[in-house]
Amino acid sequence: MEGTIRIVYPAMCVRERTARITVSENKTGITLYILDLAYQAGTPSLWYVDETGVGRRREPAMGAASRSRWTILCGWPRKGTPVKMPRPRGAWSVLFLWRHAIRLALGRSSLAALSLGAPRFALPNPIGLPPGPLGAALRPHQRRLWRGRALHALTRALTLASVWLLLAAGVSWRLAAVPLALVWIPVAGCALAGIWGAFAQRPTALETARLLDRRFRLQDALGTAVDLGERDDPEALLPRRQRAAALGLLQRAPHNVWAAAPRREWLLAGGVIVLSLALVATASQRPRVVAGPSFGGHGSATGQRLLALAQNSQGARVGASASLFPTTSSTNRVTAKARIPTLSLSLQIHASPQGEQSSSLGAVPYLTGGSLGTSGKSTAHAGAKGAKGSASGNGGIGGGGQGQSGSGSGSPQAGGTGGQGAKSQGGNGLQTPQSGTQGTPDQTGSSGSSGGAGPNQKQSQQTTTDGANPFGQDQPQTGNSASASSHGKSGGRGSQGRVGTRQSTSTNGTRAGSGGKASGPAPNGQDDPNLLHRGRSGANGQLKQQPRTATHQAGPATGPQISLGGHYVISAGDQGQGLVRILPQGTAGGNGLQGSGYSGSPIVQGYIPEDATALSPQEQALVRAYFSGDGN
Amino acid sequence: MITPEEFRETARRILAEVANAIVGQETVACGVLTAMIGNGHVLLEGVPGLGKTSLVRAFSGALDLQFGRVQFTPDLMPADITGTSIVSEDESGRRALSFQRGPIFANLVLADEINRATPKTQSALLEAMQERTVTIANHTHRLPEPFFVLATQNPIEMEGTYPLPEAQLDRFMFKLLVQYPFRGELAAIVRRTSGNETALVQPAAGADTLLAMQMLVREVPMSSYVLDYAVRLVLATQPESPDAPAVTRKYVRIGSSPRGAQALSLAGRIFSLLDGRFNLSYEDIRAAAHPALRHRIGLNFEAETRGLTTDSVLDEIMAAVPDVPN
Repeated sequence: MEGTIRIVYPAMCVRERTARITVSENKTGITLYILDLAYQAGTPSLWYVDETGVGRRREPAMGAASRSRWTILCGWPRKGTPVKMPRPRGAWSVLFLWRHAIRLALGRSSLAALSLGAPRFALPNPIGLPPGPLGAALRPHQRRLWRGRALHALTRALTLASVWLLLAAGVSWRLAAVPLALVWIPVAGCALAGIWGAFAQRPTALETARLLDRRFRLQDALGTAVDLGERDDPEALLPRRQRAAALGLLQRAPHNVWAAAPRREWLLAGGVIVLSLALVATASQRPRVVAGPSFGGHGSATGQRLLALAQNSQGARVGASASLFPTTSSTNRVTAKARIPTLSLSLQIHASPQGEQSSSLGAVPYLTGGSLGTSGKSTAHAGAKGAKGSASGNGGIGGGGQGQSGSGSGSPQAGGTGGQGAKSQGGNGLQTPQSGTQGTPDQTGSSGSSGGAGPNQKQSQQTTTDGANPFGQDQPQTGNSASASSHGKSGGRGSQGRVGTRQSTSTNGTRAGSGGKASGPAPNGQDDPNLLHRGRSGANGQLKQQPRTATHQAGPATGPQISLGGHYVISAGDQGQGLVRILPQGTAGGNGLQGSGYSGSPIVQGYIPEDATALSPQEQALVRAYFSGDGN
Repeated sequence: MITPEEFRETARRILAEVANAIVGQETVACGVLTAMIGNGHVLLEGVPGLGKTSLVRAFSGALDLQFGRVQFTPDLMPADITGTSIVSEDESGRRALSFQRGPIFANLVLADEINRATPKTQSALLEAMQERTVTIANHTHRLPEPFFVLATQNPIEMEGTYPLPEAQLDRFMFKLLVQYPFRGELAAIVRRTSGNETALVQPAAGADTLLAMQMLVREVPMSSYVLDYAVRLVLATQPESPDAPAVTRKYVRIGSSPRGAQALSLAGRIFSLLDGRFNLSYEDIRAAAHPALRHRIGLNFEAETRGLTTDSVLDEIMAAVPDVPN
């Protein structure tokens, strides 16, 4: 006989070959000889696999003589063992994995109760509703079953979509913004799959009858009645009585049999949704560091005053690309927080629809009245420390990692008392970018005269020169550990130093600051005459070493909104997404930003804040003065 | 035509009459009746003294059937069972060959200790059991309807016995295992057999009634998926089948033949009618699986060395065959 041989090579490539097959029967059975196998399949062995999928060697099953299609596996199958044929790939393999994932997550598919335990959408041989009263009685159950299955399918689609959203939120939170297409297209796919599943799982009449049989232990009476349909002679005794009995059973069946809800899947979906929402909420409260302020990056070589504003609502931010959670209102509202060395600001920006990257936007900065987050603590510590240093002669202040704050000398508060000056500088490392250049030892000394940081003074100078970044907290500390320890020693000024660190990751001063901070005690902001240093956590004026608690916790911007000097012009920063520049409106050069002693760039660039700050009216006045340029 | 209610009542009466003579063994009695209603033969296996022969005799009395008995011995010849042609002389003195019917020409034949006869003699039953005819000297004799063979065998005495060949075993619809009686049953047996009281079995049904019951059984509706389950169950006993579970591949030498599926179907229908239903269910198939398949499965040497029985292997197979195929 002539037959078609399906040859499966080890590489899973399949080839159809035609070969001569000789079948002979004898007492012991049927022997199959595939004459052309040797040269066509490349193996002399006569292993073969017929439609049954079982590899045999010269032991065809009964009825093999009539078969004309054979599958030849070259080489490896063992006698009597099932041969794994190439598995379906592509979309079906995805369904396979999904099914197993569901089983793994839920222990057992909740759909099993609605599908007779068969992992399929419908039983074969669909049979329509039988005519007559049996069909009429079965139809409501069929609809309920369909609703139940649709609920399951939609729940699973919701779960899948939620998982995807969770992943996308996590990625956008930690790694990079996920394009909208990558987020919503799969979600839409899940929705479509859920809808398709809801329709595809429409139960047949036979399936419904069988499920009812199983649910009520009806010994397959309904299923048999539906399956028989009109096949048998309606006048036959037993089929007629069987249908009558099935109808009686069906009419007595309760109608709430499909009331069971997929609770496990709801729990799973709910958990995923809650996680997603929590992640989104956390992500919105925890600004992402977009870029660190850089000295000298903008404007003159003498340094600019860069205030990084981080915007947590990205959709409306100037220059922001479409991302996960865009805003759609005509007036985009952006809440941004900024931190000035020892206090945090929040800016609420109302961007007009026309506001593009370079267009003018009105900005009303305001101060948050919330408590300073723990992160603020560190900053505050630094500042307080500086104060303390001055008071206790720890001088550390100077140390001040704040040295850079030393820049403080140039800050508006520089005019305060020595201690204050030191503190303010410490806290205000922000404003002292020039301190590095301008901050002479004298300046520092004057500012921290009371602090008298003898040894620290030098250090402060050094750090000043290095140009610390007041926002070092959020930046990786790459600084010199040795310097850090020295700073900490001097007064734990660290925090400030750390601040500095943040600002310029490339400078040593920064690093040192951070180190100091780690070991630095918490200052008492209450007694600190410098308002900018008040309101922080920490012991009052004591150099108490406290372990650094969790930072980066942002406090809600719940405080009273305070105008910090009117409207500013906001334009897109040139350091990437999330950066904006704030300039006093109407002043092209941003003169209003300059405080006394400040001669840097008028451009203020935002940076993501970590928390909100509780400001006293005095502090607010200071900030207001700072922004308005007469902050002395 | 008999109605399902009459069917149940008749069966109940038959079993009640049998119970007058046999204490206990209700399962075996029900199995024998089921096989008889299904027009099948029964192989009773049990140690001596459990009432196998008495059970068959009780059925013969309860059914008002022609009873024939053959005590199988090693020197038994096929002609002793089927009959033979003998030379007879009539009144005129003419001699002619006439067929002398053997004991197999009866409605109910008791093949006692069937495994003690040689395979040659055992083979004499093959045609009778399957085709219900006996062919002697090119002449085919039809056996009376209904025709049942109730055979008994002792599983422990292997010396001087000849195990039944697979072809012979396959012709039995059921193989029933006769178990030891329970405590109360044993006491009742002793009371009944050691006194003057004799069990009296009255006929509860005749051959016509039994034939009508056989016809009614075949009208019981059977859904396609239950039939598919029976087929898959039988295929699962065949080690070469792709649906065979691992236990089959490992321990089964030979699987059930299509007669097994037929027996499952028939027995299931009877069970459903006896249960007051008019359709076959999965439970009916499962209930019939052991008596209908246990003698159709041949275990291999590995299973025997492990002490496995066909019943335990069948349990595994049934557990591996789901109601709804994946």
